[in-house]
Amino acid sequence: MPRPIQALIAACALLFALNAPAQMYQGKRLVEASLIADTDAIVPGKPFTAGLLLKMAPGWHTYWQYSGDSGLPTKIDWQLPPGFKAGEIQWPLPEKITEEGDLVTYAYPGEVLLIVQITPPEKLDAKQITLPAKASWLVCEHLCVPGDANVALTLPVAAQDKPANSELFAKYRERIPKFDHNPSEGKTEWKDAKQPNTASLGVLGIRTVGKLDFYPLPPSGMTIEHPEVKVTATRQPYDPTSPTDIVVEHDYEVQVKLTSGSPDKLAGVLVFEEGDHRGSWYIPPQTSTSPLVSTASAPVSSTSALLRYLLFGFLGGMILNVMPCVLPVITLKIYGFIHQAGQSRGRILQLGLAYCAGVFAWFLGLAALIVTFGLNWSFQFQSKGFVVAMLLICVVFGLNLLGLFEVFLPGSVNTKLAALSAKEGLGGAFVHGLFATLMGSACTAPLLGPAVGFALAQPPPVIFAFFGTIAAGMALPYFLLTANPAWMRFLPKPGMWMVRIKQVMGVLVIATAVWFGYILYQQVAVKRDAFGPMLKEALKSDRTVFVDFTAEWCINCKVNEKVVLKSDPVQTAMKAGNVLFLKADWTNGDPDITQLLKQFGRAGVPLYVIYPAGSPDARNHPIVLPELLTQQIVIDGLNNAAKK
Amino acid sequence: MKMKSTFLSLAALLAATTIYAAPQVGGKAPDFSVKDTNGKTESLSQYKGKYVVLEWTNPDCPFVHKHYDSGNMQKLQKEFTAKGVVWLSINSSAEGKQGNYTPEKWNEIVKEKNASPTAVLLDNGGTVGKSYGAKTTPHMFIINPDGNLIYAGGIDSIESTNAADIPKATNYVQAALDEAMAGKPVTTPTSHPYGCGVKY
Repeated sequence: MPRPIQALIAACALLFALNAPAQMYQGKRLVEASLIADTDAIVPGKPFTAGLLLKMAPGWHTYWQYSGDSGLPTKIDWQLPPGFKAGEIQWPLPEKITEEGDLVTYAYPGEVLLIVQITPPEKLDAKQITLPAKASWLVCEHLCVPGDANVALTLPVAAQDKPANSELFAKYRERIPKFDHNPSEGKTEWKDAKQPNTASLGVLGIRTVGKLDFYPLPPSGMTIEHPEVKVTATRQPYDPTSPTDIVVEHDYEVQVKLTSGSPDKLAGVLVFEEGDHRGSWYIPPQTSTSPLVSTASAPVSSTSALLRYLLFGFLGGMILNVMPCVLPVITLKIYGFIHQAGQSRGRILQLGLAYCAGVFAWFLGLAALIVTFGLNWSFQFQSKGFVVAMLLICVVFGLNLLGLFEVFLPGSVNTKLAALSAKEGLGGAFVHGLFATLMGSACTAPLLGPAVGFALAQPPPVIFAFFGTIAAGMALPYFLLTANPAWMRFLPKPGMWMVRIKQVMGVLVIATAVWFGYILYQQVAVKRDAFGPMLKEALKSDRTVFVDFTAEWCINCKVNEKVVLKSDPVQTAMKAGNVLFLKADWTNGDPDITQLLKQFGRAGVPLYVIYPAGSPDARNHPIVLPELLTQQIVIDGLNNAAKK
Repeated sequence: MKMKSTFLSLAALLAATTIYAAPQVGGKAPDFSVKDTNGKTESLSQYKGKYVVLEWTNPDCPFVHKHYDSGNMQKLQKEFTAKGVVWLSINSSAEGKQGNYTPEKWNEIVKEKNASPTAVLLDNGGTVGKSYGAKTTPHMFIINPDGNLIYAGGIDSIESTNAADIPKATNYVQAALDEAMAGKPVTTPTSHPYGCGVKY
């Protein structure tokens, strides 16, 4: 072959390699496709990662491996040299797009890197290797255009390699759903569905404040309806040793109805959305024997938390005994038992045990009440409401402990109870145990109140165990002292120190209230101001309101903002017209904004709406600007609004 | 407990009314009444006693192109309308959206494509589409002479825009009609519909 022709071919090949093939549509570059690698050279036998980089025109998207209600996944057909092997595509987490008519698709707007592991053979003679592939996709905006491209990756063969394109690969590798996650982050399990043709996934113990979603991966031959995700339980696990760890913990249930196929074949991806951050776990199908994902629970951390919880209950029960209105009773009671029993130690112990049984009966009864009513509450338990209630309880009881006010049972009740428990014998001792606890409630309530609050958010067995240990703590002195009355001499004498303890407890409870306030602040601070009320407030004013519906990931929006909305002529016009500029940030899918977008017949951003000032009629006829703005369009829109 | 169960049944009732339920294969197909491109009102009930095929379509969708440019859809329409099957092509594109054309333009399209549906229904409000849960173009439904839905899903087994895949694919509509009309149960009564989203 003559040299010049060879050179020409080489030049063409170079050009081809430099210029990513682009899919053109009506004069617009819709998709640019190219193959890249995470290495600068191929080392024989050493696997590396290649990636198909697709860059979409603003507003256009290609699809995930399950495209959803419409669309088509992108395909890569490798034409590999002998000895090379290519793995499956590792798909980064897509965006979920909901369009008019409740059509849900899973897609990549803007850009995506589809990652594939390539394994070269152990021996390579060539100095340079080219890996060609044919990529094909469907790219959609409001309309869809199929596209394909022949792409190739050319790399030298070397004994050593250096990483390449690290940032891009790191960015998209991080978005690939995790195959194994730390069990302490939560637990997932497929359930035997109660209804046939429904796949049901339990997601337990999730401690994020964000949203949970499920992107399904049905195998071919399976047809499904949209997954539904609901919260089945909300807890605020109490951990006294590290109170700042207390977060809201949710259990969820994901349900996917199937119109064909077997529920145990459904896989999917659990998606956690928290602010701008999105995390995801791959969930293999029920029939999968994949060892990668552990479905075992994490008993270690939860058991130790439970033990601390119970220890706290026990100590709390003991502390109840040194409350000013309880301690004097102990001495009196036990002398009473000794007197009744006439020095018979066995009889004293019997009376003591009956009294303890009374204490247990009271607390377990309380637990039963909480289980009965508390469970119904937890149904609609909103974590914020819970925190507010706890804060108030703690403030009230803290002030009470500090002596700002006192709680008394009505006198008549006290008298009746006293009469009841004045009876002698085992029954009398039992009733006495029962009601001594109640009578002591003037000073036990401040401590029990928060305990009841915490217990409300716990499962029933924990509630019973917790109150059981409080009872055990409170009953312990009676048991010990009736078992050996000689120990009475160790009993501290009532005095001012009891008031001090009460005050210290008061300070602790107030501190708890402060900490609940902090949690509440965090919960509120995490969420941005709801847009609905903000707009309502703005519309009450007598100013023209301009709403910029935008999102961080919306390129069109950013361009419009930068080139048009923030430009001097537009800013001047806004100032001149005394226009109130509102930004409706849809980055996190604020439901208020979604609702408004729907009202304007839009499934997404950008959207620009001008609410003219003046009569209610003018307010009710907002001006909608086109998606692609020019300075003139905005200025004309503002002028039109001023005329109304 | 009583409160809980009341709450639960209320929630269920709420869910039943708000969540849109597409008809189940085997169940009754929802009736409709909508104008065709010639201004005639077409309803499902008027075709009781006949097999009816509903084909959601949008002439500008590449998936629809695949089956019309190859002549695949026209072939099915000819074959089955000749056997007495009623074939209704339905367009649910909302006003201003892709595929929303005037009745006159629609008649031109049908002529140009040499298509032979019994009628082309213009469901611009999307009511019929939503009542069937039509998601894509094409999305195919078959109703038996008793008015029951016997097939819902894609036109065939290979999800692509490439006409070269048609001969390799199993045509589910053909198979279901052949089986049902021979008195046999339908082997594949549902499949994943593939295509462009319906432009509601």
